[in-house]
Amino acid sequence: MSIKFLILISRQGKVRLTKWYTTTTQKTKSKITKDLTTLILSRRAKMCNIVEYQDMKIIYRRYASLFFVIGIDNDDNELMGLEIIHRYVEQMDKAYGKVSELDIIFGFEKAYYVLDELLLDGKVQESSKKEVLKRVLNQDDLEGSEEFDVLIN
Amino acid sequence: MKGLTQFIVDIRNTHDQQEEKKRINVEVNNIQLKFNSGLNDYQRRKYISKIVYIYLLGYDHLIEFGTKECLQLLMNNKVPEKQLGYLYLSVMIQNKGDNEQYVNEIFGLTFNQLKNDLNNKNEDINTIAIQFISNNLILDYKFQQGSPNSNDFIELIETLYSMVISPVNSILIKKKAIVGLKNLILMYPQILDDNNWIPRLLNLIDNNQDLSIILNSTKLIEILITLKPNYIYSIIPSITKNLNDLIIENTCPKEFYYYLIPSPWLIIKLFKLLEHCFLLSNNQLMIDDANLNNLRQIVAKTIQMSSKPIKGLPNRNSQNSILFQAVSIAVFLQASDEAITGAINALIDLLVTHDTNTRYLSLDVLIKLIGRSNNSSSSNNSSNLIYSNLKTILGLLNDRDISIKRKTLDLIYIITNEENYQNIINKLIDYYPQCDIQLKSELSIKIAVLSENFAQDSNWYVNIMIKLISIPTTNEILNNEIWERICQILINNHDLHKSTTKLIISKLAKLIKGGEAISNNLIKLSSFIIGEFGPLVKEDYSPASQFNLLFECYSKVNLISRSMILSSFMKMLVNYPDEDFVPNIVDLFELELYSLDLEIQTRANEYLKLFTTNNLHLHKPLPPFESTENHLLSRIGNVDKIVSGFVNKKKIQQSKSTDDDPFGDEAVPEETYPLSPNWYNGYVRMLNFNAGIFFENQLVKITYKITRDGFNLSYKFTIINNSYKVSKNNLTNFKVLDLKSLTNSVNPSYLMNIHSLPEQLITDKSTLEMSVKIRSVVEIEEPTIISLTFNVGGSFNQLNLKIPINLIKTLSPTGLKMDEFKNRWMQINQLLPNNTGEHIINTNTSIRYNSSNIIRLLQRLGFSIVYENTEGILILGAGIIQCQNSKYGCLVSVKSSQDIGKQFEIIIKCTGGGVSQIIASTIDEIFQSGF
Repeated sequence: MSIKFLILISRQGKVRLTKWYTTTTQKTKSKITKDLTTLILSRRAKMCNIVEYQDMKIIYRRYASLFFVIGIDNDDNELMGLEIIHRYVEQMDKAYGKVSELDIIFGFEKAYYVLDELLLDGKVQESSKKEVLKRVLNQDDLEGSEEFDVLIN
Repeated sequence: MKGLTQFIVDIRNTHDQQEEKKRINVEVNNIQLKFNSGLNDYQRRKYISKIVYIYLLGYDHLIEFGTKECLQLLMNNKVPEKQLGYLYLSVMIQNKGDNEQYVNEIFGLTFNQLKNDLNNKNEDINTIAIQFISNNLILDYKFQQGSPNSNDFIELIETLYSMVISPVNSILIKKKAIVGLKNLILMYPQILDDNNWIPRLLNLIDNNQDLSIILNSTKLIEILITLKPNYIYSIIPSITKNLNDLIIENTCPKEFYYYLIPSPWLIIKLFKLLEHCFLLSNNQLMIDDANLNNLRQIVAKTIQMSSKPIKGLPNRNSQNSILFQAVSIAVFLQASDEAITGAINALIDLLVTHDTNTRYLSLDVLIKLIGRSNNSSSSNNSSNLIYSNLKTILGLLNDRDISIKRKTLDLIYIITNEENYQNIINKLIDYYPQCDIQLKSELSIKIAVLSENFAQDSNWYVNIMIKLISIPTTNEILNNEIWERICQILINNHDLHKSTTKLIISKLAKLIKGGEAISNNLIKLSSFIIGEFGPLVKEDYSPASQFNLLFECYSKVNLISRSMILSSFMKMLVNYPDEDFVPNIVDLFELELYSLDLEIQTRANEYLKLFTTNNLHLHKPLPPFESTENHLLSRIGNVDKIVSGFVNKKKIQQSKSTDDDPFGDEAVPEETYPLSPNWYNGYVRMLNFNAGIFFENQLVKITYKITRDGFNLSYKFTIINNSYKVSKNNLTNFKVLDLKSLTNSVNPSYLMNIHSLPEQLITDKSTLEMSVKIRSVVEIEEPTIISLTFNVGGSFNQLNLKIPINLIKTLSPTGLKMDEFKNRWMQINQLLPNNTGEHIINTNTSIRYNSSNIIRLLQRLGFSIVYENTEGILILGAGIIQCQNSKYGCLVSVKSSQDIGKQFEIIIKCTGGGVSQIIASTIDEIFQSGF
């Protein structure tokens, strides 16, 4: 299972979060993002969550107003990709406490942090929900103590 | 950070691109100014954050600064500062990773800091550094030895390696370090040649403390076995055991459950790793019976589980994904036909479910299942089974989802065979007009390739093709390949010229008469055929009628087709200079001199010049088409990719050997293991005796027993835990790492097969059984080396021992009388000239032997004694060497020379060239070492 990238696209076609696990130039990135935005937004609700694009497979899933899109290798297990998205959303839900699109826009560092604990180098590194949350809370503590330092100085 | 939030709000409030750009330019200037004046920690963080944000928005060209500030962030010992520093670096590397110079520069600047962070006592800092390596140092190029940073780079790999195997590091650190190590090894695979790391790394998959270690190590292991395929065998038992726990036992630690399923991700990864093992070894993977059965059970259980309904989408998804993964390896397990049939039926049932994803993936797995069947009969059976459900499958072509339609086409393509091609192709052609525009080109190419591959009757082929290209489509440019391909085939097949020309003329005439739309591709093909082969049919269709057909079409078709028609008119001028329509053609050329299209204008002009200057003889007939490549195949889509799987050996091995390798994969430089101390005693004992002690040290004792039956030898090793008596330790992770036979791999002189492997956990003892089949003469240099690894207490041990696979073990006694012996003795010399049938050695022993010692030895080896004299020593013996491919008679004479009992002259005579030398040196080895 190797995820090449993860993009969060809003229903209006705005990109909310991206993470690339392969070295890609900005130009190709914007091309892929643009292509996928049109491709996925144009698909109807009942269609399958897998689209073939270039030499990879695109797996996407819609949660409220956000599309979670990942690109995986052609031979990877698609349903597992779908469940990775689900797990990511679950974990963000826990981390933010009822996550919404705005949470991700303004607190993007936390979204990245959850992602980094779930995936490493495009592969699931930790499937245990508890472990990821522990790491994220730990991170919150660290951030908190930092703010505190600033106040004292 | 207030400033950052404000900046984001500002950008979100901009109305158009222009305004956004302006806001960003202002900010970039501001940051640059601030960087030039002094900064405190907080400000530095704020501005670097802004830079990262600007970068992420896509304005990467604006930013060429900040590296210095980033380094300062890295040097700070607070976690958030470092984190931001690494974030900045990763964003930069992700964007400029293809610029080797840039990466080297960054690497040089940050290496020391990276090293310090890895060795820091604070675990959080370690994780940030490892995470940086894991997520970012996955670059496409290889690190070369001798490049400026190579020493640093190697040090980095070594640091990560020690983090991975260290017993004291926490699981958190380890699992991240595994991924980092994997990336670095990919960039510098040579490191594995210089160090004996692989056995320890392979042990990661046995880790029973935490599943996440296994989860993370699968990819690393996949790379290791791709680089060193000889280790594949050793990890199969571990994969099987893990799968067994997860699927048959259906358990795992509580926190790894995903809803009701025990760690589906791990299951999938393990299946994938297994699949990779099979693909890597080209279907020739040796699996012992116990593990093979276990794997079959696992697959059977998964298929069986999938038929039980389960609640909830996540559960269903996980269950199905496990099913699909299991089915795609079922083919490799030499599963019985019933099992495959069962799997196919289960999948076909899934084709009509409501869930779109399931339909899609069932198609996908069916394709894999057929494509990978290694022998054609079983693949034909499966194809026919699916074909019997063709109606269901054709129904899927009308699915709402294009992805499903595309997959369905792939499936139909792959199940087509000699028996069903006509029906399938006809069905596909019927479907063509209602097919989605995006799929048309793919569909037509598939039809063309299938017809070409299976057609037995060339007229049928031409018919189908003309039918195909006469269907009007909108994106015709895409399909040029098809009519071009038809032309190529026509030119080379003379017997087709006449019939095809007739066919196409009548087809065209019918279309024009009926006033139907004519596809441009049909026109292109017709103008070519009529121009080239028109004269062949002038009895049936007069030249004038041929001309009229094309002339009529001329105004109705697009520009490219028109220029082609012009060419055929030119050919008509050559072929029929006296016909009535010649002036018409010339008029047309003159008219088209004023065409707006450059191509048409050029052609008209040049053809007109050829005609008016009387140079038409410059026109030459077409040469035969010589390229054997079919360009259509390159556009067939991804069927082949699915079938061949993901083994991309070359990509990983690129840097490994740069010199040209005439034997391809076979000649990958063999690894030589340093043999463990004390191996020799066991080796010689095995030559001499059929049972005994193979190896012993404080930790283990290995005994062996060989059973001989002609050329079939079976070896039974018993591994006894010696350390248990002393320290009550178990042997854990006991593995056969490698069983490397040094025989020629193309035409091996013997074949090995393992029947049972020892337990991984040995408290008292466990057995390893293998059998060897001797096919032909085994040279002395072809023994087998067995590598065993195991842990005792905390220590990791590896044993490399040589097992003699020797011709002498196939020796069986034969009753021979003295005079027969004499005859044979003489015969061999006549039969095999230049003494190739005979070998004489003089050997000195350290102890004195008498004749009964030697008789016992020879009988033990398998000779029957023909003659013995007790004074002085002279013993004659005879035996037969049995290989699978041939038999050799073998005669021996042992004669004591001057110093009686300590010095011997041994003569071996054999009916096969060179065999005597092998036997002689084996016997010499036994004499030398004492018996």
